Amino acid sequence: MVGALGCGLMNFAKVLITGATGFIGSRLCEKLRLQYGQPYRALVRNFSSAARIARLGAEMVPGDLADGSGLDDALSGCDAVVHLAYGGARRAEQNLVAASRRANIKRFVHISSMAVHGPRPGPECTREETATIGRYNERYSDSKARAERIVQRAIAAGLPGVILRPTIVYGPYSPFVTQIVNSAKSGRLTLLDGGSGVCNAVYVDDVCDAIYTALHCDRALGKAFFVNADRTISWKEFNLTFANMISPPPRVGSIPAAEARAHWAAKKPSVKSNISAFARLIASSDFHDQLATVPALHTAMAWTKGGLKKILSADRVVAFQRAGSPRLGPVAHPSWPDRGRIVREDFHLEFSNERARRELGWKPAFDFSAGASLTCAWLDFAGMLRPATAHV
Amino acid sequence: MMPPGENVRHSDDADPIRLGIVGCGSVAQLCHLKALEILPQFDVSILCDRKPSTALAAKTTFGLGAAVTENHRDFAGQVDAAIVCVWPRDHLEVSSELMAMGIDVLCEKPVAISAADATAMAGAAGRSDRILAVGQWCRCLKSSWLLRRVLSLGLLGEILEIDAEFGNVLRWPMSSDAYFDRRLTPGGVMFDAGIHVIDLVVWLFGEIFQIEFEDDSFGGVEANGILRGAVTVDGRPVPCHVAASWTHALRNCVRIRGTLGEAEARLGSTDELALSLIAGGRRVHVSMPARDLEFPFSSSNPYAAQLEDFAMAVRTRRAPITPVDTAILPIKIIEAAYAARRILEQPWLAPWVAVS
Repeated sequence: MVGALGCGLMNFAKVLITGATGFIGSRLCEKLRLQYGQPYRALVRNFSSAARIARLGAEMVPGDLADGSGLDDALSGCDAVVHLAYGGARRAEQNLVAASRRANIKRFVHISSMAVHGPRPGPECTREETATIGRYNERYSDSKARAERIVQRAIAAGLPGVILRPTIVYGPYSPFVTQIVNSAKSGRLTLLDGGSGVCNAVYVDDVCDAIYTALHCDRALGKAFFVNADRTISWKEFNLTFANMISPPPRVGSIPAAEARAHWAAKKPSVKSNISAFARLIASSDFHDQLATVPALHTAMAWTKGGLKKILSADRVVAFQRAGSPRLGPVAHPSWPDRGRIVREDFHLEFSNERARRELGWKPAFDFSAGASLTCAWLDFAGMLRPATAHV
Repeated sequence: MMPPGENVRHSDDADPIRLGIVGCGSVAQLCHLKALEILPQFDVSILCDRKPSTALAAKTTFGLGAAVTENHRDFAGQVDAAIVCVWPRDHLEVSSELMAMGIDVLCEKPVAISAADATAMAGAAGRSDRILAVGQWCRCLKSSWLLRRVLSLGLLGEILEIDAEFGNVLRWPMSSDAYFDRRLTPGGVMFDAGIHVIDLVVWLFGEIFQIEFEDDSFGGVEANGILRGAVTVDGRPVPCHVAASWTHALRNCVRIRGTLGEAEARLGSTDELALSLIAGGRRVHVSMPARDLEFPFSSSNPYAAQLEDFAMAVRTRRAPITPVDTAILPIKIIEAAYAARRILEQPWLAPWVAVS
């Protein structure tokens, strides 16, 4: 719910949205267009990802935060920024903050993440007032923490900014959800520690409402807020809710998180694994395609292939191509949760949304049941609840 | 501009056809030039793009000795045939001018932004006595030919239902938002993936009528479209469902259900057709291979097969498998769909959206 406590409403001529083609960004564009009627401009680095927002008929402009190209033009006529983009580019935030200052932006909403508190936050991180941000030797957490520190410094130097730290955002198009569904369709789902970890799940519409509120609430300026649902759930509930949307439901197993961590730790590169991976790369047709994007190499490859065709019979060419096809190595364990899942699901802290409710005037409108139900409707629409094989 | 037929060399079977390409972006490079690498029928002589850097990139990437130009009018007298891959809004002008120069044309789909423009292009082809083929490559799939064979043999019995779907998460390389710009393109996914399956249904069964249509556009180009209608089979109306998506994968096949079984033709480089037939009171699942099929092309790659067909049409002056006059009806069907448009129901969009 938006503005329940009566934050002062600012009117913005136009809001620039970075990361507009992503999961949260696309939904924000939908809500700004369909619910709030707030004019916006989407900064797009890769238009291939823009189909979902292109249907809204709003403005899309090219730009790249990594090198700052197009930012001044993109900000022209905008008086607010919602920064959702995440790409890990070192200078992305510096470039955007600098361009926002030049454009005299009135409000800058930075979408950070609960990940800034690392994969194993202590109890002090339950509330924003005492939460700390460090370095964790975990890529996503460190990258988001670095980005937030840059924005915090800019805010301290006068940028009219607000920081939001959403927790586990789910909903239609959520990669977390589609990962579970795809796993379930394979017939097997593996939980970590029986799914006992804490899942701070928040529905994507609630995050978008929090963004909209942060844009308009003067009391939010300079502060950071967790954006979380009222009630946390277990990762077992989160996983099984979506996995059981598949018919028949998957077999569910569990492994200790420590064992999963050890499994991936053992996968750290060795000489043998490097050689094997290199051999697979050399034989890979994808790699050949990538090589071919270098004009000189493409020409050399075309020349070589042409020469081979002249020398060899058609049958031998086909045999040669087959011999060069990549051979996949045996998959050690098809249902090991990946590293991302381990970081997310071996988690034991609940984040409070009290500050956001109190000072932002925002409160979540969707409990997990309601959010899952809407997500299910989308999964059904997207054909993801169909059986894996669609053949007659 | 050259008058029709003048100063144009028609190659015999021994000589490659001199080919020009207008518009050297993604479709030209990823589809046509890649397919041309394995086809001896063509010699790519000129590459044209309004951005010279794009044409040069195509030239170097594919190691071509082709000349590079910004103006397709430079093709006069230099090529026998051309592939047109510019934005759909420019298809009419560019293709018509090329044909008036005596050049045969393979034009990417959609052949035009309206049925009226497509009709005008067919007229231009007739007046110039040039071949105008359209890039509706689904007609060049082995699975499509197998499906047509199954239908001609009556293996499915009385046809009850047709279901055609084509969709994937859009990942087509783009350097701008032009793909979504209504000033350059006639629509969204229906004029992209949608027109392929509509074309295939029309190729198999003829016109789709009684059209109902839903899409998810809110002022921009649609990313999802669902068309329901009927086709005529043996004098009876048969329900037909067509879906296209840019946001998620669909079944990517044409499925036909009859009283004696079902057939599923995948929209890929597959050499088989999935069949489920009722035999002796039992349902039997089989794959129908293409090895005995009279498929006129050597390549399973539909772009290469389409170019083989175009080469044969250029050399023998026979009609291509995708002549422009047969590409008008699919556009008319999409126009009828847009005219009947309703908002696609998407419950997750939330209560504030009035779904009509």
